[in-house]
Amino acid sequence: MTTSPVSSLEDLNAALLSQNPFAKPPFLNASDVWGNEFFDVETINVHASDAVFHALAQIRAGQYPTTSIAITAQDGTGKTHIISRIRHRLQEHGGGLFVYANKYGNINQIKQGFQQILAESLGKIGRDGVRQWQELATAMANNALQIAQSDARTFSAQEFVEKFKNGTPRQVKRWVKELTRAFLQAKNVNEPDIVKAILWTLSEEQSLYAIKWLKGEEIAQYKANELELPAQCQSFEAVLQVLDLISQYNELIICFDELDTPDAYDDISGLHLSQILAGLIKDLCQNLNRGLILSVMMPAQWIKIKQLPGGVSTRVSAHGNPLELKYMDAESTVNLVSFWLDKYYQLQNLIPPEPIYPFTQIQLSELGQGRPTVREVLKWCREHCKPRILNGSENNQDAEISNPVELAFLKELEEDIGIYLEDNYLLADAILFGFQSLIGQTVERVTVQSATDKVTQRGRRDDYINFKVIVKDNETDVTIGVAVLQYAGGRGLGAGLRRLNDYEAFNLTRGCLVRSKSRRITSYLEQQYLVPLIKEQGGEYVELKEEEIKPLLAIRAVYQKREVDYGVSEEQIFNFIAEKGADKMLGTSNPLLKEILSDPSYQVPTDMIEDEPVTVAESIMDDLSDSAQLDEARENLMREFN
Amino acid sequence: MSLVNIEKAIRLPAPDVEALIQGRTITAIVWRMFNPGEQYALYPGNVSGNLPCEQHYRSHFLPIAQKALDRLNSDRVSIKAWARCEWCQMVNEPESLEALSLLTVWKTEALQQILQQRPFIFVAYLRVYLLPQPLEMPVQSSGNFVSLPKSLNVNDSTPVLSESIFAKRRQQLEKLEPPEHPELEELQSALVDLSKTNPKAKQLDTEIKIFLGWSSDKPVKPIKPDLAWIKTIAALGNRTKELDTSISNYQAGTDFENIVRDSLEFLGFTIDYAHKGGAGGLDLFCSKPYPLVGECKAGKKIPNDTAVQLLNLGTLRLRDPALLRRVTKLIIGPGEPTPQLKDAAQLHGMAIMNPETLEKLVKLQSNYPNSVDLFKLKEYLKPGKSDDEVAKYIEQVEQEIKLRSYIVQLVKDFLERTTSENVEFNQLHGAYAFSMSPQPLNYEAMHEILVELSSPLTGFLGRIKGDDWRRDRFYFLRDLLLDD
Repeated sequence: MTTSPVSSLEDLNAALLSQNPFAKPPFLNASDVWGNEFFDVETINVHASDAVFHALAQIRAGQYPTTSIAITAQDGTGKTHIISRIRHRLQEHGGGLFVYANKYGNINQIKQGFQQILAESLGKIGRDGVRQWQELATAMANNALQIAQSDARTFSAQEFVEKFKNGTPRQVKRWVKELTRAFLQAKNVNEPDIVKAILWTLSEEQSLYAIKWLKGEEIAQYKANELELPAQCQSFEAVLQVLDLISQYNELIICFDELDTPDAYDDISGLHLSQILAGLIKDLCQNLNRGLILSVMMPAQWIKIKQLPGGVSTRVSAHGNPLELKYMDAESTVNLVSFWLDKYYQLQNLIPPEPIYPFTQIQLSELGQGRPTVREVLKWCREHCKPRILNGSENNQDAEISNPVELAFLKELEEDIGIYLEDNYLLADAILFGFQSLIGQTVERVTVQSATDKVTQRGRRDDYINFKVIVKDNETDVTIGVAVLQYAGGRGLGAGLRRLNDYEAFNLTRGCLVRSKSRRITSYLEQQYLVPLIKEQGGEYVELKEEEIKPLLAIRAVYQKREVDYGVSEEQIFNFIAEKGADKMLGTSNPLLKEILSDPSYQVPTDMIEDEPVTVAESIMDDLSDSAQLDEARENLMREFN
Repeated sequence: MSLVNIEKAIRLPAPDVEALIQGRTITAIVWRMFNPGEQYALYPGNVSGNLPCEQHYRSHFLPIAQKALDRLNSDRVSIKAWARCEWCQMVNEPESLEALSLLTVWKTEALQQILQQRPFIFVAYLRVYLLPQPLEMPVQSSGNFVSLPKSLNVNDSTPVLSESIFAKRRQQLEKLEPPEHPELEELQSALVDLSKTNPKAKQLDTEIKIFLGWSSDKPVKPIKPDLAWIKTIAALGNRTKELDTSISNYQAGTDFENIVRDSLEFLGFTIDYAHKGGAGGLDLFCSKPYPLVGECKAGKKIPNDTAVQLLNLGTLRLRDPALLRRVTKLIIGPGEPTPQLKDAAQLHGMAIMNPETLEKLVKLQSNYPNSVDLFKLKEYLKPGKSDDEVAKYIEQVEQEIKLRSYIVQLVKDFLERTTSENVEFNQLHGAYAFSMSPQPLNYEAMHEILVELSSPLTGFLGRIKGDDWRRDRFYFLRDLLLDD
C-alpha cells in the first residue's frame, strides 16, 4: 500500500509479476451470464445492446407486443458478452424476466429441451433477490388475492417467501390450493397444474421439486402426491402456458447462444442445430405475447437459417438483417484495456502513473489498427502484460499456462454442473466422448475398440440406452450398453432398466447402469430389474460422482466449441487428454470410465434402495367445489394473508 | 493453389461419384446440411434405398451408372477424387423436383421418394478435384463418413471443372434453369461406348462435353509439385503467432526468412550463406549479380527499428559504410511500415516490398523461366514502398509475353485458315495489323520478335530465311500458353 498519489514502479511491477491482470481466460459462458461479477466497457458494441433495450422499451410502451433480434458476428467479438450485459442490466434495473439458452441436450427433442431451459433459467435469481419463478408466483398470488378481495394489499416476493417459510406444511398446502383456485376463477388457463406448480415455488422447501416438475422431469410419486401434481408434465403446452402467464405481468427476454456447435445435426431431418432452433424460435414468437427473442450466431449459421422455407428467418430476425458486431479500433482498444487495468489497480490499492500502464498508447493504438476482436486484444494483453523493464526480454512467468486446450478446459471447469446432473443425454454424451478418446487404448486389461451412440432397436434409435462401447477382452469382443438414468421418478427409470436387461434386443454382452447414489431406487425396481441385471446377467451399476463426470463434461464442451471459441484442433484436444489426463482425471485416468470398463462386481448396491413415504392421508382431499364453501375458503385465505 | 488435408471420405453411390468425376454433374445428395468449405474424398458405394438402378437414374445416364456399379468390388475400393462443398441447397417443394432432375442424373421419382421419407433433400454443390493417383482402401460397409487409412495431402490444382464453368452450372442449379441442350446430353451418352473404339466419336464426345460445360475447354495444366512452395510465400509472411498458435513467433520469422532466401535464389541471386540470419545476423545478403542486403519481417507491422537494424547489421557485416550506401537494400514484410520507417527507408534508399509482390515475381519467373531480368528489376526497387513500382515491372514483362503469345497464335491461326505450311513475313504483318492486336507494332519490331520466337532456344515458331528479311517465312511449332 502506498500513500503517494502515484504508486512506485517497484510496487506496480511487483504486482504485475505476481498477478497478471489479464489472467482470466477471455471466454464467457453461462456462469458469467448468470454470475454477479461482470466486466463491461459499455461503449463497446453499444449499438447491439441498445437495439435490444430500445425494442424492450417499445414493447413496454405497448407499441408492439413481440419482436426478435439476431446478431451475427465472428467468434471472439462479444456475442455472449452482449447477452451478459443484457442480463446484468435487467437484474439491476428490472425490465423483464430473462431466459438464457446455451445447452440443448438431445436436439431431436428440442422442445422438451426448451422446457428444461426455461424452467432452469427462471430458477435463477432475478431482480428482487428471489428466483424468477418466485417473481412470477408473487405477481400471480397478488393477482389471486385481488380476485378474492379487490382491496387486498400487495405482498412483496420476500413477504410471500417468508410467510410460506413460517407456515406449517398443511397451511402452505392450503394456501397454494386456494391461491390456485382463486387465480383459475378469473383467468383463462389451459394447464391449471402449471399455475399450482408455479405457486409452489414460493415455498423454499418445495421450490426445487416444483422447478424440477416445471422442467418436465418426473418427480417421485410421494412428492407428486404431496404437491398434488401428476408425477410429470412434459409438453410444449406447458411451455406455452408459462409464456402466457409471464406475459400477463412482465416482459420476457429469451436469449439463444451457442448455435454454432459443429457436428450438431439432427439425424432424422438432417438439419443443423441452428436451423432446428430457428424453428423453435418461430414457434415461440408465434406464442409469445410480450417479449423479445435474441439469438446470436456466426454468419455461417445465419446463411443456413435463411435457407429454411416458410419465412423462418424473418421470425428469427424481425428487424430485418441481423445486427453485426464491430471489431475493435484504436480508441476502443485503449478504452477496454484501461477499464480492465483500472479494476485491477483498484483491487490492488495501486495508482498507476497512467491508466494503461504497463502498456503505451502507441502500442495499443497499433494493436487496435489491426482490427482485432475483443478476445484477441485480451489475449494479446495477457501475453504482453509485463513490467516495462521486462518487456522484450525473457519471460520469467513460466508458471503461466500456455496450452490453449488447458486454458479452455479450466474455463469449462468453472461451469456449475449441478443443473446438468439431470440431463441424461448430456451426461451420456460426455461419457461417450471420453470413450471415443480412448479408442485403441488398453484400460483395466481391455482394449477399447469403438464407442457409438447408434443404439437401435428394430431400426429406431433408443432413448434410454445412450451408447455402446465395444472392447476386446482376451480376444473376445464385449459390448457394454450404457444407460445414464438420473430419473427421480419410476417410469423413466423403469423403462431404462428394462432395456438394460434386454441383451438380445440391443445386442449387448453387459448392461451398465450409471446413476448418482443419492438418487434412490424403490425396492420394487430393485427386485424387478436391478438384482437380475447384476446377479444373473453379469451387468453392473456404476455410481455417477460429480467430481468424476465434471472433467468429462468440461472436455466435451471444449471439443464442441473447439472451432468457434477456443481455436484448438481435435488433435490438440486428444493430445491434451493423453498428456494431462493423469492430472486432470481424463482419458485412462478417469475413474468413471475405468469403472464402466472394469469387470462387474456382482454386488447389488444396498444404500440406494428406499421406498416412498406412505401417502394415503395426503391423497384424500377436501372437496370444496361447493360455492358456499368456496366463499368460506376465500375468507380463510384472506385471513391468512392479512 | 492451396494445400488441403483430407482425412475423411463421404459415401456416395458409385454412379454419382462417376458423374461428378466426369463433370456431368456438380451435385450430390447428402444426408444433412453441409457447410460451404467442408471437404472430403469421394467414396463410391452402393446405391442406398430400395429403388432399382433404372428408377433411380435418368435413362441416358443408366449405362454409365450400371458400369460404375459393376466395377464395385467386394473388398477393395478405389478413391479417385476429393471435393469441396461450395453450397448446400435445401429442397422441399415437390414442384421443383422435376427441374432439379433435369439438371442432374436423378429421376424425379427417386427425388420424390426421398422427400417422402425426409422433410428436405440436401443437394450439395461439389467442386471436384482429381487425386494425383487413386487411393486403394478396404471396403467399409457402413457409415456416411468413411475414415481414410491415411490422411491425404492434396492441392486444388486439378479441378474437374474450371472456376467459370462451375459458376455457370451452380447458377443454373440455384435458379433451376432448364438445361440448354438436353438433346446433346443424350447424344453424348450414346457416344460413351462408341468413343472407346472410334477416335472420331471420341473427338465428338470431347467436343460435346466441352460445349455442355462438362469439361473445361483447356486441358488443366497441373502445377509441378516441386514448385508448390511458391504459392506459400505470401502466406508465410502473413503468418503470425496470433493466427497460428502451433508455432512461435520466432519460428514464423525463420520460416519466412528461409522462403525469402529461396525466392531470391530462384530469381537468380546468389545468396551468401556466410551471412545467414538469426539473432544478430543479416537476414539476407546476396553477392551476385549485384550486392543486395535485406531484412525480413513477418507479422502485422514493420516496426520502426527495422531500417536501423538493416543499417547497423549491414555496416557490421560489410565493414564498409561506403559500400553499404551503394548496395541494394531491401525490406520484405507484409505489414504496414510505420511512418518513421517510411521516412528512414526513403533517406537510406531502402526498398520495402510485401511478400505478395515477391510471390508474384517468383511466379512470373516460374511460369516463364528466366523472364525476370534482375538488372531491370533493380531500377524498380525504389526507396520506400516499392510494391507498385515492382508491379509495373511485372506488368511490363507480362505484356511482353502476352504479345509474343498473341503472335504465336496469329501464325497458328493463319496457317490453319489458309491450310498452308508457312507464311511470309509481309503477309503476317498485314494480318497482324488487321487483327485485334494488343498493341501496334512496326515492321522491324515485329520481325525482331518473330526471330526471337523462332530461335532454337525458344522454339515456338520456325523460320525459313528469305533473301530479304521481309521475305522470311515462319511456321508454327508449339503453343506459348499464358498462365491465367
